[in-house]
Amino acid sequence: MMENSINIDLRKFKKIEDIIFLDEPILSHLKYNETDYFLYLVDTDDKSDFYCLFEIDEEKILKYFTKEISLRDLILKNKKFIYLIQEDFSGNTTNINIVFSESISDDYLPAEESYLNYTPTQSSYYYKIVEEYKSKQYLQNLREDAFYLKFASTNLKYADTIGLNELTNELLSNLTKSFKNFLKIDFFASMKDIKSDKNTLNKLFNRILPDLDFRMVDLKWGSFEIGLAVDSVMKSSIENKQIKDWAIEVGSKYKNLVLDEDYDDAVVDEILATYDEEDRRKIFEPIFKITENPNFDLKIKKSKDSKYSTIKIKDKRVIQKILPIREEIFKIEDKDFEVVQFTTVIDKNSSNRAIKLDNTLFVTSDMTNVVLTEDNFKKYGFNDVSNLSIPVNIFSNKSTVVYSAIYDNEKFEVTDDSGKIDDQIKRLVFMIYEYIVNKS
Amino acid sequence: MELKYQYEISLIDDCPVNNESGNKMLFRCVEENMTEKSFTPNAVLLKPKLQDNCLAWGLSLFSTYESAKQMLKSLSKNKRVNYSRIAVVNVTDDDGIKHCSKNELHYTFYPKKDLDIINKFTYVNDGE
Repeated sequence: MMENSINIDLRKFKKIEDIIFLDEPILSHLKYNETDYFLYLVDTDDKSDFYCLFEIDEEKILKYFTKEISLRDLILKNKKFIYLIQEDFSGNTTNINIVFSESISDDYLPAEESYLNYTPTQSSYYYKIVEEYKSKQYLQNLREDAFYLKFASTNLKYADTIGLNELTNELLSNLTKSFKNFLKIDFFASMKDIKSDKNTLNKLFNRILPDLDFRMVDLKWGSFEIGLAVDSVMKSSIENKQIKDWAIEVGSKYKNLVLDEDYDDAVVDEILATYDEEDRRKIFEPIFKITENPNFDLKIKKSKDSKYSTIKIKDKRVIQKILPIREEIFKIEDKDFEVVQFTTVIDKNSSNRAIKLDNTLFVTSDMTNVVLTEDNFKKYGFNDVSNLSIPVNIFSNKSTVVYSAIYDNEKFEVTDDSGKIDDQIKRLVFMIYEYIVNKS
Repeated sequence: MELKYQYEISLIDDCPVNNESGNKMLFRCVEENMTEKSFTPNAVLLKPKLQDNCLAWGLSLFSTYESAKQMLKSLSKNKRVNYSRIAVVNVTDDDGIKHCSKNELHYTFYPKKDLDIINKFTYVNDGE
C-alpha cells in the first residue's frame, strides 16, 4: 500500500521573478526542469500559506503582461492540472491537492478584471522580451487593419516583377504626392472652423504631418505588394481632439475616395462636391498618371484576406469630369521679342561668353547690323569660302525677330521665334552656303 | 538614517538597494480603518521563510492609483478581504528609503525609525 508522502518542495524550483508583490510575493514565476510555472498565493491562515501552482508558457505570460488575458482566465482556462499547495511559514510543504482548473474554489480566484499592465524596468528578466513582444503586437494590430496595394507590369516579358525605376518614379512618387496633397487640402478644409488663420493652420499641419503617414506594415517584392495602415496609436500624441479625430480618419477617407476601384457615380459626385478643380488636380492627377499608364496595373484590396481589384476607370469621361482638360496647356506661350543694343565691358582674354547684364547699358532699338565673314562659315566646317563680308539686318517684326541678308543680289531671310541668336545665324549661314555650292 | 527593522535589514546583503531620491506620491492598499498594523510588514514578521527577502521588510507602495486598484483585483477573494481602500502618501527623502526594482509601478518603502507613518497617509475616495 502506498503511503502518503509529500515530495514537492517549492524551494527546489528556480525563481525567475516575483510578478506581483504586496509586502510578500503574491504571484511568482518559477521554473523546474525547463517548465515554467506560476505560483499564486491565494490564502493564509494562522499557520499556513495556500498556493495554486500551475504550468504556464512564455506566450501566455506575455499576453498576461499586455492585458490580453486576465489572471483569472490564466487559471480557469488552464488545460493542465492545478496544484493546491499548503506550506508552513518555514517553507515546508505540508499538503498537496491536484484539481482540474474549473474545480478551483472561487475563494482562490482573483476578480474578473484581474488584468495586469506589467511595465518591467531594465533590471527585470522580462524587460527585453516584453519590449519585443509589444512592438510585434503593434505591427500585428496594424496589419489587421491594413489595406494592400499591388503594382505590376502588364508586360508579360517581366512576369510579375516590377523595375526599381518604375516603382519609384511611377508609383511611389505619384502616390505620395497625391496623398500629401490630399492631407493638406482636407486638413485646411476640415479645420477652418477652429482656426481661420492660414499661418497657424500651416504650422499645425507641418507639426502633425509625420504622424499622418501610412505605416508600411507588409511588403512583398517581385510584383511589389505593400500593406498600408493608419496608425491610431501614434496619433495619441496629438493633443487637440478634433485634429486627432481627423488624423485617425483621413487615411481611410483617402483610401475610399481616391483609391477607389472604379470611381462610380456616388464617388465622383462626392469628389466634385468636396474639392475644387485646382485641388482635384493636385490630388487626382498623380493617381491617374499611374492608373492610366497601360504599362502597369495598380490593384487594391481592402484587407489581407480579400481579393485584389484593379484601379481602372473604364469610362474616360469620369477622368475629364474630375480633371477638365485645360486649353491653355496646349497654347504656345506668346513671346514678344525685340532687338536690344547694349554696351558693356568684357575682358578680351576671358573665354567666358556670358555677359553680366548688371554691367551693361541698355538701349532699345528696332534694328541692328552684324556682318557675316568667312570665319562664320568656317565655324560650321565650310572651309572653301573666302573674302566674305555679308551684312545681316536683324530687326523686330511684330512679335518675332527677322534676320535678313543680301548676297549676290539674292535675299536670304530667317524668322526667329525662339530668341536664340546663334541658331538663327547658323540657319542663315547654311542657307547662303547652300546657295554658293549650288551656284558653283 | 536608521530605518525601522534596521537590524534585520542589515543581515541581508545589499539591502536595502539604492534610494530613489526626491518626493514621490505613492499609493498603498489598506483596510477600511487604518491602524499601525496597516503600515507594518506583517508577512515577514509572521513567516520566517521571508526573513531573507529584502523587499519583505519594507512596505509595498504603488506609483499610480490605477496600479494599486489593479493590485486589489489581482488578489484572490480570500486575500482581498484584508484590503478595501487605497491610501496616498507623499514620501520624501527624510521619511526613509524608497526603491523601485523590477516593476516600474511598484515601490518598496523602508520608513525611518520613529516615523509617524499613519498620519502621513490619507484615504483616496473612489471618485478621485
